[in-house]
Amino acid sequence: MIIFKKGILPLFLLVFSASYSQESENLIPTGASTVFSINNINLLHKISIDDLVAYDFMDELHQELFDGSTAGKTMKDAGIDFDQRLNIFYGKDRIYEVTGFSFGVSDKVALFEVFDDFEFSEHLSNGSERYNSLFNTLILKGTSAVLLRLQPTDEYLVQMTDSLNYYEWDTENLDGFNEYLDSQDEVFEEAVFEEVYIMSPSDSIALLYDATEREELIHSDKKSYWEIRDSIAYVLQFEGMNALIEDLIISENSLATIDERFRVQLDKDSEGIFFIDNSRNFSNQGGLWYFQTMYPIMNDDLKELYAENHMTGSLHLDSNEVYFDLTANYGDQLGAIYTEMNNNPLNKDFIKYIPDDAPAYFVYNVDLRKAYDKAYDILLPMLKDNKDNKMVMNLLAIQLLDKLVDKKALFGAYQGGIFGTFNGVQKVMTKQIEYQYDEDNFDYSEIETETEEDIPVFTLGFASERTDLCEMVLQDLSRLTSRIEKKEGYWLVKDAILESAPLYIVCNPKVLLISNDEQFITSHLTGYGKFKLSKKKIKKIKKAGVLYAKMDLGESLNQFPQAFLDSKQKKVLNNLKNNSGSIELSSKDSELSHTLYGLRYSFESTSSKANQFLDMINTLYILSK
Amino acid sequence: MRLPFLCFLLLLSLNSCIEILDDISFNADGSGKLNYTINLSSSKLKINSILALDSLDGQKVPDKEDIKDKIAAVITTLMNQDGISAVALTEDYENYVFKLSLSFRDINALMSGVEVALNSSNITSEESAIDSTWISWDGASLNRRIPDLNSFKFGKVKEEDEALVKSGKYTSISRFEYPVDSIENPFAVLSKNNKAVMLRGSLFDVLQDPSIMGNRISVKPPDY
Repeated sequence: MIIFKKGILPLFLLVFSASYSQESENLIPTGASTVFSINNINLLHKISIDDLVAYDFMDELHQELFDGSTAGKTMKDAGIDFDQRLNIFYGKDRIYEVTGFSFGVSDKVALFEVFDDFEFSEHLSNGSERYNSLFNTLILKGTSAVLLRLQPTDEYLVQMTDSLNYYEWDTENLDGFNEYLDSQDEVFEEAVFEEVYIMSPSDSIALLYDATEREELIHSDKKSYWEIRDSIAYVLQFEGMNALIEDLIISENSLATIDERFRVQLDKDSEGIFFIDNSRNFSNQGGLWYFQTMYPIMNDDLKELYAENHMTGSLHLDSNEVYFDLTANYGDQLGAIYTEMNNNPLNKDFIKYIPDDAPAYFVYNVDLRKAYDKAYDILLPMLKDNKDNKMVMNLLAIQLLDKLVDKKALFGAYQGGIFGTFNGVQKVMTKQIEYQYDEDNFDYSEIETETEEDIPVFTLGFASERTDLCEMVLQDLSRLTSRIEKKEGYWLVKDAILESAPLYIVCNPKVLLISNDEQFITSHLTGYGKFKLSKKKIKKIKKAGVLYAKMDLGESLNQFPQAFLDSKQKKVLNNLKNNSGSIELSSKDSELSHTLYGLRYSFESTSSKANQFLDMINTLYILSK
Repeated sequence: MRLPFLCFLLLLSLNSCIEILDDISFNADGSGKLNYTINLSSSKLKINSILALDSLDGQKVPDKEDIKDKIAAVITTLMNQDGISAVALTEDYENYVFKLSLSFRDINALMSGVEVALNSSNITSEESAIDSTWISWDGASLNRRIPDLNSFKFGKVKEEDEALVKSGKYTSISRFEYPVDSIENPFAVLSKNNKAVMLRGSLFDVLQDPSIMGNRISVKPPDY
């Protein structure tokens, strides 16, 4: 009996606790398409909550956290269990955008000192606790918690609101909608109060439609478009959050339970992992709107092509280096196109135009002709399965173009390979107007003075065997405008950069060069000679597959004028700006199922390893969102 | 609807080097002339770089045609105001210098015209409508302020832009037919002919506290 107690009981307790314990990675919704999971969160012990919420990946959630309750507190003070992962996730489908993070909880009291805006809402049927704040929901399940924020997408909200044909309501006879919406708001307010779910948004919308028929709903008060939109947003959010909780918490469907690929990632031995499901991101790309709208069938077919497309990665932290290995996974068909496009020898004509001291440069070595031929072979049979009129006509046009266009000339002119160098910042003189005042009567006159402005200096090179075509175009254009001038070995386009600085075009036999670097044009027109990249660096580029990029953070990011960037690029830049060190991105040859990429971030910063690690995660988050 | 806001968002992004010059001349009969100049020439590289973008901080960047249309609408409104005449605008899109000049019958016509034009252009925020009594003149004493630039829809200057904004300038000149007798603002300067007063400040300071450009000036009309 004693032996039983000594031997079986601990084993029983161990098994029981293992089976009962809830890990934070199981609280990631199935709709998450981008996940960062930090395994070694011991690293983050000393990170202050204020520092953490300042990162973009916390942006959607931090309003309520960043209200003073976090002042001076570290992650450790917040009752977070460092033996569990910290998972940050993001997902978007046609209707909803979900953001959040899940983590382990070691001290519930301490947790709610930080999450002090959350109020207890209910015990869910499986014993989990639900807390709500103004925008977010926090679920405590066992020793883990998940903070969720769910919002309907703007596109869907606008579509739904507009579908109510609001402008028709703007007549006396249709004011009843507003009355109806008011009553619905009350119903939902009650529902929230009583924590009882009443109806789905689709039901609500259907009822709104029905209301047009009801003469008895005609009253005088009107709701504005925005009020109606807010009402719909509220209903959608309410419904969506309940459905999400039901699926994730009650039915225990999480990304880890439904996606084997993600589960494999979780088993990786690294400080952090990264997972992006491009097959879902692909269809949510805003830039593809036109394509999706005009060619929905072709879009569906291409979705097939992207079905297995996902990216996985692991983050490793060394003493002064964050190394990120990334695998871009895809199906065989896409893989066949990529292998043709990507696996090419380094274009030697590029190397001589990259100076050894360039703060940043990249080489992208693709062959579009080979990619086109392979894509034609693969895509055409896929698309031919469709008998839709529009599709048949499109395919016919594609086939005729394929037969009639001289592909050798076309892809000879633009082969696809490209390199770029950022050569620092150069001062250019620009004119400005100033005023000179007469002290007698303060009459003034304009005077023209010169001032110095910083502009980034770059060179871009395109692989081309037909640079004579560019020469021909410039020759003709120069007859039309005095801004284009032929010089010895290059073309000058005056005031081409922001109507203030010149641009130089060099039509060399194998590469077309575009630059605004005066020094390059005056001294290195045929290449940098002994100043070109060192053999060691060239070896690295050769070893890399389709892509190689290197950036010296101190010299490039801190110098780069931000006016030339969009908001997303600015965010990334500012995120890394105070660091020094370098970022190196390289790839391996593409294989049928995947391409490997490596990102090495070597830092020489006074800030902690944990900060560097989070900086890198934040950069990846911004870029992947 | 959002265009005015976007135009001013553009201005905010550029106000690192804005120079604003307002110049009002008063005649003895109460009429006068206003010249208002916005000089962005020292930022033209930045303006061109922003105009080359599709959007900035999540807002669509207007193109030159949008800006021209908006300015033309404000000018048309001004032209149609009672007591306002000789409205002229010079637009230099190479150097980004914009000059507005107009004549006014009396100070009330000027204030009313400016208010209507600004309100119709939708560039002032609803919460802080522009002060419609920013100037008064009784033939002997001028009491003037400048409109609170914060009432325009370009919000607060971002911290990272502060240093740059400090190099922006605001110059205000008041001219009279008679010699100036007294000036209240200690930073104002009197011309040698005693008939013009100039007040200059950094745009940053003006944004922080528009009252620093306020002034009360008394002139000595001749004894008849």
